[in-house]
Amino acid sequence: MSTHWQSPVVLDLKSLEGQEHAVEVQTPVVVPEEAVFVPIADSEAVIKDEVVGSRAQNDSSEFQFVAAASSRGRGMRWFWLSLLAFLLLLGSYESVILVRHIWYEQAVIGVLLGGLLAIMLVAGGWQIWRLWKSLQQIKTVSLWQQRALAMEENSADGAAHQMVAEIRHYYEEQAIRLDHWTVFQRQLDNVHANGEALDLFSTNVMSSLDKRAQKVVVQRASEAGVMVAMSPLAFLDMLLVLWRNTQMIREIAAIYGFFPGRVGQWWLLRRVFHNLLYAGVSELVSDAGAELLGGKVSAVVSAKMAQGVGVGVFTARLGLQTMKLCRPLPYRQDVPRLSDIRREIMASVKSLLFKKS
Amino acid sequence: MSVNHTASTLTKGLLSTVRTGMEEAVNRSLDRNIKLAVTGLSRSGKTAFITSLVHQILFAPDSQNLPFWRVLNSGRFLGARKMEQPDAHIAAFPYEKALECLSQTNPEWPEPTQGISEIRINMRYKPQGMLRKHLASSSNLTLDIIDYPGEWLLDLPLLNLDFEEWSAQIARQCRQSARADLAQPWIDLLASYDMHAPADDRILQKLASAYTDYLHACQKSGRGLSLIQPGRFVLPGDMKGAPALTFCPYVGKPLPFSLTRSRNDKTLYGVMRMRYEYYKTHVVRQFYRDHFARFDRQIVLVDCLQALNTGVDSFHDMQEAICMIMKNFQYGKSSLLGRLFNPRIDKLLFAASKADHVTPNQHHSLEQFLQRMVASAHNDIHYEGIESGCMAISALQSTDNVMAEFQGQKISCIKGRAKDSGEEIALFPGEVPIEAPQVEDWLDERFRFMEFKPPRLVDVYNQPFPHIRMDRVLEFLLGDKC
Repeated sequence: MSTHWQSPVVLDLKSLEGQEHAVEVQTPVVVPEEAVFVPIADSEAVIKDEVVGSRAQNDSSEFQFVAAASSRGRGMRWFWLSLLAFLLLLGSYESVILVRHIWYEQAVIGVLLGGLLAIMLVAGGWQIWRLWKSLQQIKTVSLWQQRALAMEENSADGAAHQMVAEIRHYYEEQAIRLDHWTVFQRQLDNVHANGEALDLFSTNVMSSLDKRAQKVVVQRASEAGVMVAMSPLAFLDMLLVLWRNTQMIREIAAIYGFFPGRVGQWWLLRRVFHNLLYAGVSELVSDAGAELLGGKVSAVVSAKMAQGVGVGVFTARLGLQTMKLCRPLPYRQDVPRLSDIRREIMASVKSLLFKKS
Repeated sequence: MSVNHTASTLTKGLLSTVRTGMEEAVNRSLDRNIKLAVTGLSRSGKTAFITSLVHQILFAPDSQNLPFWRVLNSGRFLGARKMEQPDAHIAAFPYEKALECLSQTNPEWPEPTQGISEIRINMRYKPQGMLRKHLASSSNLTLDIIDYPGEWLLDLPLLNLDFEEWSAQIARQCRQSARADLAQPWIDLLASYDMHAPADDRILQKLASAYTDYLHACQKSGRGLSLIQPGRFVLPGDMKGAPALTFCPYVGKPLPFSLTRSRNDKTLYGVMRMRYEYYKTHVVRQFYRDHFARFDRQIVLVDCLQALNTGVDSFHDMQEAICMIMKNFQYGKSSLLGRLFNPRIDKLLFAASKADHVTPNQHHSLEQFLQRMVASAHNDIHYEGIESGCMAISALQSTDNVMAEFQGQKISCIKGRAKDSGEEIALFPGEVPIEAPQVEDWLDERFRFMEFKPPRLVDVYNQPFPHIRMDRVLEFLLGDKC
């Protein structure tokens, strides 16, 4: 151990800056991207080294997976990107030539086609821009999550205060109101260590967003459950579920301040599925217990109802995973539980089926 | 129709009667009582802690600064009230007097405790569990706290020692460099008497007063000596001058076996031994039986900064004292029946008090330092499987955290009224080491943590105190009960 401690210093009272009782969260500093952002492939090492504790271990599986996938897929990505660019270039070149050709032949149709082409280009560009923006947002969020995990819980170095201010600034930019922010600010003191500050933020401020998101999950999941329970065709089930799920994911993302376009939404869905597949075994096992028991009970009542509840639970799980992905802070003690949501889904499916019969 | 109506009213009335009766019964049977042991050596801040704890609880419903106390933050806390204490023969804890001290224009810390006192608080809250929520609309939790001089706490280890063992322990302590010169007058006096001689009360009185002087000297030496036994010698309470306090340990040349083993109570040595035994059974054991055997929760307050200030000897002295004391409490998981007949401490919190005397970024170091300091006691407790924690707290925050410019760098520092001068002072109090420093680190006066006076508060009687982590203390100690 190093034995160098700083000795006491008496200061001139006049040299003090503004005295602050309750901490005033300082104006957020936008972190320069190259300074803090660790490429995901490297972040695996950071997380493994710095974070101890079961919560962190649970969550790191997600990062590990992403890291592995990105390093392996780098060659493929270049291939696809260049192919896409090639086709795009070729296509636009061809269409420009074609439109110009028609323009000379038939001016009216040429103008029409040219206009359509322009609209298409603008709309496509808009979508791409939105995708890029939502990717940036998701990157910011996963960065926050990583920082929260790597933060030293008991130290009061102000890292959490800073991060909380950044998160707030982000939501302000998105024009999303954070309930209880003033309460939180009054409670937050600069004697609070990082872990305490994050706990406070999580229970006071994030919880209102969580509640809204959870409500959406319950609603969409029960809808999906009811639809499957009622629909006569298996193929229709699949489409319905897909439609409801993408909608749910978009809504949840919006609650947490992302507005991915159509493309971004598919990208998000893909990532949610990935996480679902690679979710911690413990999580799956604990959920499966509840499902097995409930499933048996509902199967006794009706096969169709069991199917409905099953689909509902799947949707709920998708929703919870989306929440986890979009939430700027990893869950602390307040992890939403599937079993709670499950009960509500079952109740709504049951009430519908029995009302019908 | 009317018959039906009457019947339904009757049923409703009956139901409500049953419900009220049930509520009462449930409240009675589930009425919970926590006896909190506030343990700490003298000057570790017990009285201030109890005052603050009581004050925070009483003013909790209006308080904005207890965010980590969950029952309050989830809106289930209804209120709290001071109740009549269970034992009428014990003095009431001078809560009002402490508030008076703090409300002066020049606030002072509450005076050191001279005797035992007690306070009981009743808290009312909405229960959380499904079953209890339906059975009772509100539940009660009673908290009993006892305040006592920290000096008396050090008597507890005597219970396991006979006169010879205790004397040997004292002799060992007296050889330490920090104590040797202080003990010399008493040792010389002791050596001048013949232990075989028949007992003479005047001699005994002389010896006892010389020994008491030595203990007082230890206390006032500023060397941070914590191990001062027996505690009643320095703080006799109502026992001043009683024969039970007129003895002293024997240190010096080994005595013949015939004297130490004989049960002859006529010799000087015999009387000293007899009185020691009397002291043990009638003073210490009774104190222990009456107040210390039935605790459910414990908080151990340690003034780490004092230990750091006064040097390596004081550090080890304090460490030994804490470990000795901890051996006298019963730890373990308590069962339902056990709680009635043989309660044990099932949650224990080590708290580094006076955390406001260092900057917030040092709190973590302070916690780690405390953890190292109490490591051996902590291990024993872990073995029992009970929950324990370590926290840096301040019952009444007496400093402000400010930023200052020093040699071109921005540093975080604290500002408050210095204890000795009463002047306002801002300083960076220095860093807290995370483990016991080496002997050489202590030599160059590295650690000089300053003491502060309590802050001037606007309205002590109607507002909760500023504090550091008292909400987490409350959550830790009471969180699972309500």
